[in-house]
Amino acid sequence: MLALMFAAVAAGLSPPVVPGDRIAWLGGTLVEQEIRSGDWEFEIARAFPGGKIIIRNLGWSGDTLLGEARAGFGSPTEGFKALVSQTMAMKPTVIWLQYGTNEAFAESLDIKEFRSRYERLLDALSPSKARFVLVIPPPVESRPSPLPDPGAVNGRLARIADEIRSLAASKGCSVVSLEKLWEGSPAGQTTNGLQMTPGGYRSTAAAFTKALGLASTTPTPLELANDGKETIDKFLPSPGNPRLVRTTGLGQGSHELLIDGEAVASADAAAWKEGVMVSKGAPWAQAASLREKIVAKNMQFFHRWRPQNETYLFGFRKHEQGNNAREIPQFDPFIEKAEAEIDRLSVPASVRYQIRKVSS
Amino acid sequence: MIRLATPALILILAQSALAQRNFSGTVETDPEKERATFKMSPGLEANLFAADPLLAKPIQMSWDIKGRLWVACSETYPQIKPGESARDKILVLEDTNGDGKADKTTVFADGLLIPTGVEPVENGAYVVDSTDLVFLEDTNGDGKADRRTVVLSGFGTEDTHHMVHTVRWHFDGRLHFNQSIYIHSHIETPHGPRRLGGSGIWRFHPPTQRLEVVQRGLVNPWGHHHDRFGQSFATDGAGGEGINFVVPRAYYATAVGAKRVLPGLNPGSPKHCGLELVFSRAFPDDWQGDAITCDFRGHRVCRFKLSDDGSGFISREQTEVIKSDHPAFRPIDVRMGPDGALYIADWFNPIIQHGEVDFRDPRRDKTHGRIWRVTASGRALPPRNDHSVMSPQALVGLLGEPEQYTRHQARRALVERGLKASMPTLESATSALPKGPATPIHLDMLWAWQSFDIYPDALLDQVLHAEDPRIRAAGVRVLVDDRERKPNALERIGSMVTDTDPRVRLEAIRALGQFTNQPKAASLALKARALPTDRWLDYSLWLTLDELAPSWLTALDKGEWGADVSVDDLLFSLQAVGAQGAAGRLAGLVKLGKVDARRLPDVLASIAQDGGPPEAALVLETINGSSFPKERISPVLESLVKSAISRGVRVSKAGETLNGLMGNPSRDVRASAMKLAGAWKDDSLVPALIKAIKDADNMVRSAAIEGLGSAGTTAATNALVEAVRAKPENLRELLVALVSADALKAAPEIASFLAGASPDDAKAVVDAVLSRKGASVLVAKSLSGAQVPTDSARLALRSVTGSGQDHGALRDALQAAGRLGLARKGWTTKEKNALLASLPKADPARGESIYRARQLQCLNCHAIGGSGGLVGPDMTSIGASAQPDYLLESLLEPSAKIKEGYHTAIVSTDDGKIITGVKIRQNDAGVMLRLADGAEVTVPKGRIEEIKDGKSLMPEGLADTLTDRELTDLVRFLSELGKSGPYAPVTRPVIRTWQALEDSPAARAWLGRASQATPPANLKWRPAYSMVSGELPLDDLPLVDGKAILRLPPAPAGMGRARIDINGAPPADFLANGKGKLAPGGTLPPGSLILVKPASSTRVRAEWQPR
Repeated sequence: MLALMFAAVAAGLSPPVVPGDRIAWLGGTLVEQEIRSGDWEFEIARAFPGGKIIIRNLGWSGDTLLGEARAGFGSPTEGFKALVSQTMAMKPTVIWLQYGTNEAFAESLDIKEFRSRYERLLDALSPSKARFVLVIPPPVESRPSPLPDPGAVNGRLARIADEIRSLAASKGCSVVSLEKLWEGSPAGQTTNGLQMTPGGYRSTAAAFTKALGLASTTPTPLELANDGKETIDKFLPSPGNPRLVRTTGLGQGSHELLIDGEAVASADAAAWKEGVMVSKGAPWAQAASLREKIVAKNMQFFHRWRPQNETYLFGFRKHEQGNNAREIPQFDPFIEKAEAEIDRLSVPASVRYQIRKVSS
Repeated sequence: MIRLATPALILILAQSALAQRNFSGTVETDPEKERATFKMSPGLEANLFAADPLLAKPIQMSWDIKGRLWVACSETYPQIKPGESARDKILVLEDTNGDGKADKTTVFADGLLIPTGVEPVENGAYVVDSTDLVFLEDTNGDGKADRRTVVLSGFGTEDTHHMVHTVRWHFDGRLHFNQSIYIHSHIETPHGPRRLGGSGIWRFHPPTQRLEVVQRGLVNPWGHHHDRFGQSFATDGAGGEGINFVVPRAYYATAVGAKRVLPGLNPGSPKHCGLELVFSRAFPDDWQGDAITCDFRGHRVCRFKLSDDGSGFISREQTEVIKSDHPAFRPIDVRMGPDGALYIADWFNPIIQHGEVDFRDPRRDKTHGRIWRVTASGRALPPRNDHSVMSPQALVGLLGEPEQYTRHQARRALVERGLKASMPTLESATSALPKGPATPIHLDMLWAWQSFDIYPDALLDQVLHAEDPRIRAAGVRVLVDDRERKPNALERIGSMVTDTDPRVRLEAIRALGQFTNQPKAASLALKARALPTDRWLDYSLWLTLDELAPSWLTALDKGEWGADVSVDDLLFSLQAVGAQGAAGRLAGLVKLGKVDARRLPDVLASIAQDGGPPEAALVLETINGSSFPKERISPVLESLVKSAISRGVRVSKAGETLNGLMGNPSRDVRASAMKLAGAWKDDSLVPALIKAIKDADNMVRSAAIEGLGSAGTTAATNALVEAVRAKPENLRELLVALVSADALKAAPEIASFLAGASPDDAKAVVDAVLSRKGASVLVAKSLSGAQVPTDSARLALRSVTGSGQDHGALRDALQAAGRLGLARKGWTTKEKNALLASLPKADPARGESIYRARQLQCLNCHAIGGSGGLVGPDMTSIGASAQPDYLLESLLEPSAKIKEGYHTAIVSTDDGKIITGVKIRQNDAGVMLRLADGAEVTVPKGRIEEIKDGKSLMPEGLADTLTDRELTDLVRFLSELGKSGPYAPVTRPVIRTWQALEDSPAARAWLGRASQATPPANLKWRPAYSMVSGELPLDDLPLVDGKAILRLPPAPAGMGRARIDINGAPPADFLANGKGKLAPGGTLPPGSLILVKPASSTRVRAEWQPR
């Protein structure tokens, strides 16, 4: 991980995320919907144990560089204003911009216009003094008929990707490319090419981490002592990702693995020599809690920045129910509390591994 | 001591706050006691299907193919609290032993945030979960959802009772769902992003992920269902037009960007939620096809009879299915069930909505909810099926059943089984269908295929050739869905534009609007003009031409379109699309001499209305030509005046022509030309206008003054000031013109005028001041120390406080000058509570007469049952929906709570005008406002400098003129509206809006003539509104020679003559194709005049008779 980060720095570009970052993440459906799975965010937390990284997902389905999805009752211009003010309000240290998907559906894509809109957005966000990370969106996943063939859209997305790279180079921003997001996972991570299936974010988490230059989600194998003594290890797996545990020199018969005293796997000596896939026990429970906390934080934050009944709370009917707007900042302590938990859970706990012969 | 005292004090305050809100007492929650309040339509009975604690707060319900009832419930509504997790549920209710009562409840899903819609499919359900449409699936068969897939995301949540709702499969195998007025949705689909701001109906096909908008508008389209032939209808939970006939992709009231809208079928109707058409043998024959919907404010389940009327429908309200006075009975959804019975979801809550009532109002019920089951006594129920276990053959066999429920679920079961399993049966059943004329079963079969996106040619052909036009019409709607794969679709549909049946023509015209890249579709649609038209056809042709405009206008410019279009059709088309650049093209046709004399005036008026300066110049030149009909010159000039004032379209160097017209023998032409000379700010003509200030003809004089006001040049202003100082008879209009030209010079003149002005004059001049930016402060300054007659000041003040703008300085100045004293500065809670406590003793009948009193003018703005003004919300069932504390507050502080759809906009224009009104719609052309006097104006986009949110148009301090007793009577009357009793909505078609003749010399002269065949145009009429009961009291109507003269309105669709009953007066005369005496209970045709010599308390009641 450090090597990769170093590579980015060596090329004169700042890394997409460093400890202590407050990330404002902008984009459309793919960004927005991540809040309920938390799988990508999990990998960031995992890559920076105790790194106090705050992620503010400001994705909004259907959004474009103009902030079209954020205009509410106002004119499209107000969508852009909202996009900028929502981002500035987060006081980000780094802004991830993931735009281009919706723009690519326009048959008459004007790539110069795309670039000038992108530049306009970067200019408007520059008072934040945050770093910019230009995220190249993934191609629309190809799905079987009767769903449409995304060939033409993806052709335009490729032009958009080139333009983003060129823009990033001219502005000195770093680029994260999700162009290879679908590689390495089976086909069908989305329902319709755009919307992730329930397991989609988890399945593509490896490709996502790779794109960010973070540590691999594949756990390193764990070698246990075979002398009956405990092995102390600190490791946080990705939810559901099994880890290979092996040990040699065990006597005949069945042996079980205890993690913090809890039996999580049982196999014979030969199998333990080969290695046994383990996906249960304290580290996975911690991973599950971390993901849960991330989702819980995201939901509280969603109600905070994009509350229901906005018309009454802040809009043109606030003279009626605007008094209830006082509740909205009351989400903050819940968000902060969840974030402290996230930071705590991102640090792998010390865990005791022990192999024990199963009495027959 | 202090430590103890503080919490005690807080406790006391909290209790008094609670007491204030909770004054309405407790609500009876026993379902049996609730049922006892139901007044059922004769022959019907209701039983409790399910109730709390089995379910709480049902929002939408729907049946699955097994016959289980799925219910979306929300206890979180209206707003999640900080720190809370979403916890709302989808329940499944089952009646396992068929006794009409649910005996099993399963929580299928929880953890949802205000789910506003549910529609089951095999192993799961589509559910609206706030911003997302999700598919919740039970993958292990334990009856509980274990997998959540987001299907579409990005639906708006700006108002939690507006979020996507009314989710249901329609005949076409597409999921339809609606959103309401505040919602803005942005959805990413593999066909591109789809966006909808404001209300509308979506249509979604999950296999192809096609998502489209099929209707726009209505405020809260909370009901949507279709008839046997796929014609669909919608209800509106905040609009007052009852059942709406949904024309494909048409715009209705409130639609964002609408240029023209379609009305509903029952104007003046209360608001409704849910909609289901009855097709069930369990109900009597005369109920089949009737629409059932819920007046949740008025605690009623309503029934409307639909019948064909040309290409559209007529809807007539019938006696209610259920009427109740239980304050918490809130029917909100209605469905036919698997046993042929009617099921009604009762949200059970004394409080509805959260716009006007606090989110956290403790009176909100969170724990109750009921499902009622309605059957006809003594009628056998149709057989009940579990469609999930039937063979495809058996399912196909059900397609001919009378119950729409059964046919629908059979089709759903075939679809859910998948194409592979169902195809062989569908194929053999399709080929086994009778070969003769297509029947409704052919249509059902075609819809089953359509659900799979398959369109068998032979079957489609047969349906398109059906003898029954309703089947042909349905066929067109199916065919257009497959237009991209059917090579001859355009021609096929085009040939049906001239079908003998109007509904088929309507479908064909609307279907052509889908061929957006084919200009030929427009010329095909125009062929419908050869046949008779009606309201719906006229709208449909306009909309199709508008939808296709980008393609045919481009083709026209390239010379590639129009060869097969007559000049008349071309003119019609260009006039129809108006603002899209038609004026220039029309002008081109005029120049080429292609417009015949008969059409020329209308065409020129269109050009004048939409064109720019070159077109305006052409118009002026053409009307000045010798062949142009003289009597049509003035109206065209007026169009040019309007364009000049509203859009700034001015022509320079037209002085000579205008000068000529200003000397025209016709006074109309002279007057219009003078207005135009001013509006075009032609310096060379100002001297002539100045001279005309003293013209002998008062019409010309007024026009010249108006012209000088619009010209606003120094010479014009000086001339106006000079004229004002001479204090002539027409001082008022001079001042109105002067303030428009120069507010600074006008202010002192206005102040001195007001010192002696009559109330009407004062109001007129102050209205002009209010519409001029910055003028009110200047006038206020000039008024310092002045005195204005009290009544004049009072009337002017009402204009100021009802302007929707903040004119504090002028308000204070008028109060001081009129010695009105200060308005009552707010009521204390104690005072308000005392008033509310005396409500039970108040008299609603006295309240009604206060409501109707001219001095308060309630009726001018607030209709009841559609009768009265449109400026404020209709009050029809306000008492059943709003709590008395809300009613009182609205009277005392009109701007504190403003109903959705009645917020004002203050529009400032680039020429210094201020226009305030309720925003009706906004589109590319501009903003349309309804002003306080009911007039509708459009402010063009290009002229708008700023739009600000305004205050209520209801004048503040109206209630100050009432005694406490009068105020409580008024509140009591309002609180009775919509409750069962004398102030309940009347379902009979009574006439509520009349025209009454004003007394005038002309009126008396006319009455004195031997024959009064046609009343002359110069008679003045004013609207007269019936009371809630339907009776019109004659006490406060104008009398002409001692007689009240009333004119019957035009008949609504489907109605013929009106039956008239007059109480407490001798037999009246009538005029309708001659003169006669009206027999008690006699009938008269629409438009007839009734002449009554009223005694005190004479009342007239009239009711339409079906045609």
